[in-house]
Parts: sequence; C-alpha cells; structure tokens
Amino acid sequence: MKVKWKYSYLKKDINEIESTLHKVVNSSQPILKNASVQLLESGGKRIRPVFVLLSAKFGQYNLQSIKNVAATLEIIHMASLVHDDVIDEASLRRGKPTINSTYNDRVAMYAGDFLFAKALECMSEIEIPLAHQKLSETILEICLGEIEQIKDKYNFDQNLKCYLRRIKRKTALLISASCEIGAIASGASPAFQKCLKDYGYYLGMSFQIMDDILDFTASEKELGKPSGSDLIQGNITLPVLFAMNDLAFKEKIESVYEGIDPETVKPLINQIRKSTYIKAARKVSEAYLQKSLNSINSLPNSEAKEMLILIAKNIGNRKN
Amino acid sequence: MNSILELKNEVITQILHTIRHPYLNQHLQAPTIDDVKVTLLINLLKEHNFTSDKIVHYCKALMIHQIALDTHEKVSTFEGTPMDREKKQLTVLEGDLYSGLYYDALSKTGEIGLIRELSYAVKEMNEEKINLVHEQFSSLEDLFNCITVIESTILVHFAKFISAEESIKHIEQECLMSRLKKEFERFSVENCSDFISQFQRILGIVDLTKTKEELSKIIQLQN
Repeated sequence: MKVKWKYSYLKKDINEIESTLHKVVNSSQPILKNASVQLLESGGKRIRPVFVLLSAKFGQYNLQSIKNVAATLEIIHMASLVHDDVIDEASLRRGKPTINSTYNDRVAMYAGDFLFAKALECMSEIEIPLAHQKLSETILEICLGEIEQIKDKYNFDQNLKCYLRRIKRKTALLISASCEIGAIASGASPAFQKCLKDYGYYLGMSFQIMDDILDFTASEKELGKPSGSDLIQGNITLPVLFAMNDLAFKEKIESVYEGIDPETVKPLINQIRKSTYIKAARKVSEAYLQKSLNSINSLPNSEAKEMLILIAKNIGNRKN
Repeated sequence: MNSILELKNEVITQILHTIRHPYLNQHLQAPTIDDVKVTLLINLLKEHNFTSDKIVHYCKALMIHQIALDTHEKVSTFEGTPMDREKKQLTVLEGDLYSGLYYDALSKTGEIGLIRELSYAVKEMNEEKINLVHEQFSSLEDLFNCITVIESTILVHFAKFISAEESIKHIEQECLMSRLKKEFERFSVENCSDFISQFQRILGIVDLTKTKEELSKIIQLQN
C-alpha cells in the first residue's frame, strides 16, 4: 500500500508517530533494543497509523492522544510479524534479516511478547474501554484466523465463505480496527465510526484479494518470492478457488502437496495466471473496493476523506 | 465458594473453559497451570477482602497471561519433522491467542490501569529472559534476582496495583523457590538449562553430581 506521504498533509504527524514508535519500543536490554531498532528501520509503510490518524480527523483530532493509538496498531503489527517469521522460519523480511535469523527463535519470541506488552502499555494511555474492547476482539480474531490458516493448508475442499473469513481475519480486521479505533479515540460520532470501520474492512478485503492475485501475476522480482508461492505452501486463495470449479483443473490442483518440488507446480501456476479466473478474482476485489468507497460517501468532505479515497484507489491500481 | 480449594477449582475450570480450542487441544499438550502462583494470588486477594467473583476474575486473567508467556517458552524445543514444524507454528499462535484472551478479559471489565501495570511486568520479564540466555551473571545473587523477576513480576505488579506492597517480598521468595525446585527436578532429567549453565559457570563447576548437591543445598537454605 504505497502512497506518497511526502506530499501529504499528514507528513508532520507521521514523523511524530515515527519518533513515538522509537520511544515506545526502546529497551535497556541491548538485544531487545537492537531487535526493535532493526524492526523499525526495516521499513514498512506505516499504513495502519495513517488510517488511525485519518479516521481521527472525523472527531476531535488531538495528536498527543491519538498518536498512542497509531503507535499501538503499528507495534501490534510488528509483534505479529516477528512471530510470523518464527512460524514461517523466514530469514528475510523486506530484504533484511529477521530477528529469528539474526538471533534465534527464543529471542524472536521474547521480542514479540515484549513488543505486544509495549503496545498495550501505549494503548493504556487511552482511557476508553470501548477502544480496548475493539482492539482485543481484533487481536483474538487475527490469532484464530492464523490457526485456521494452518488447519486449512492443502485442504482443497474449501468454499468461498471459508476463504473470505480467512482473509477478513488475516488482513481486513486490523485495517478496519485502525480506522474504527482512530474514530472512537477521537470521539467521532457512532455513525462516522461505522463508516470508517466498514471502509477499512472492505478495503482490507480488496487489498488481500489483490495480493492473492498478484501472487500469480507479478514477477518473482516484484514479489520478492517465487510466483504461486501461496499454492505451493498449500494456501488456497481466490484464483485457485475459482479454478477448482473446473473439475479437470481441480484434479491437477489437488495433486499439490506439502514439500512438492516448486518446479512441478510451475505449469499449473502458469495456467492459472493466464486463465479467466484471475479476471474473476479481480472483479471481486474491485467490488470490495467500490464498497469501501461507498462506505465513506456520507462523511463530510475534507482532506482526510480525499486521502482515504486516494489510498483506496491506489490499492485498486497497485502492481505489486 | 470460600475455601482456597474451592476457589482454585473454580479458577482452573474457568481457565480451561476460556482457553479451549478444538484444533489446538487436538494437536498440542494441555498447558500447565502453575499451582504455586494460583495459590499465591488467591491468598493475596482473600487477604485483601476481594469477593469470590473478583478473585476468580483476576486469577483467571493473570494466569492466562502467565500461561501465554510460558507457552512461548516451548517454541524452540520443536525441530525437525513437518509434524514438529506444525506443532511449533501452533505453539506460537497458542501463546498469542492466550495473550489476546488475557487482554480481552481485562478490557471487557474496563481495567485499563491494570493492563498498563501488567504491561510493565511483561516488559521486565522479557528483558530478564533475554538476560538469562545472553548475559554472564557474576554472582548467584544477580542470577537469582533475574529468576525472581521472571517468575514473580506479574504477581508483584498486580500486588502493587491492589496496594498490597507488604506481600511483595513473600511473593518473590515463593516464586524463586518454586523455580529453583523446578530447575532441580528438570536437572535430574535433562542435565541442562539456561539457569543451570549460569549456575555452573558462577560456581565454577561442571560435574553433574556436584551441581545437584550445590543446588540442593541452596534450596534447603532458601527454605
């Protein structure tokens, strides 16, 4: 999700968030300090803080307070990435060594737990129980989604509902929560909170479907991993689900198993890439994107609303 | 429901009910609920005249948090086969899920101040956990201080939260003793742990029998 923040009226506030992030994750323990700095400096588009800030613009915008919510959402995301790298046994993230590869799984687990605690400490500056309830519900759903994803690996008897629920938990909920909690924390009206929550949810769904499409259509260079990695790893995404409606296709897809030589799967991946199923999946993504835009129709016109629209359109056009 | 035993049974029942998950239960060992910590917490809350409902609520939230962090201790023990790999993946997520359940329990009752206090505790705990693996302690006192923080910090911060500072020393001693006993039992089976490595290095011993003797002496002294 790339947007040119340097042209944005949020630039100053984003810089403030960046310095808050550095302060919050600081530690007197040298390894934790290095690991946290390594994470912060490994990039990341800070899209969740941006959603928090933009949503807060529809209430009483107070950066000193809202920056805690923005930093919390980003640190929770960072903590989940650290633990995900242990799960995936990943050695690189955004081209840089992961904490588990620099140190080991134990340090990565401790660092993830440390970050989660720091996120909650930061969030505790917000004395609004509803904001905490929304965040805790989101965290739980995300964990349940990840467990579900492991359970459903190489399970070719999945349906669309199952896939949509999985991507909702995987991606859409945290974006939706960023928008909703930003609105709650700034005291935006319940009607605005709902608009922004829906915007984030539909946008997250659209984004993840597009991500799943790009896994087939983008080049290895653009993706930073081989095309079709999801299928090779047993993750059944929308293009594959559509393809499985064709029984001959389904039979080929069902021959993919854990540990299969990726070269064997290449012809199948190429076939999906050139199929109409990609186009069908793109239509679903576009429909979600449109729903996302429709959700904020009733919000008052403002720079924040324009930015939300810009981000949504940017997602619709993204190439990697 | 007034006796310690009744309260303990209720706490354990509620914890098991809250953390149940069919897929995790099917693939992973049931988590251990630390009996010493549950008893310490119940006693602490009873001494401060909390109602049974409140005792169960706080014990449940705090112990789920403790289980979450203990669960993550198991992650590095899985290596090798795809089955082990899936167990490792699920163990990471199991701990994360329990952390989420703890936060959910306290946010539902709006206890934001307690969430803050326990966040300090977890920060300290993880700093000390890394120190235990990577630092070279120069004395047994430093090593025991590290272990005391790891084992007791959640309970200690909770005691501060309910203004029960007078109980902190007792909590720290009980938690340290409990860990030393666990290390002694574990040593008899595995012969190694981060604690034992530090312990042997500080005392300049490598011999297993001698290590066991020294550890046993210290446990008796602490008792």
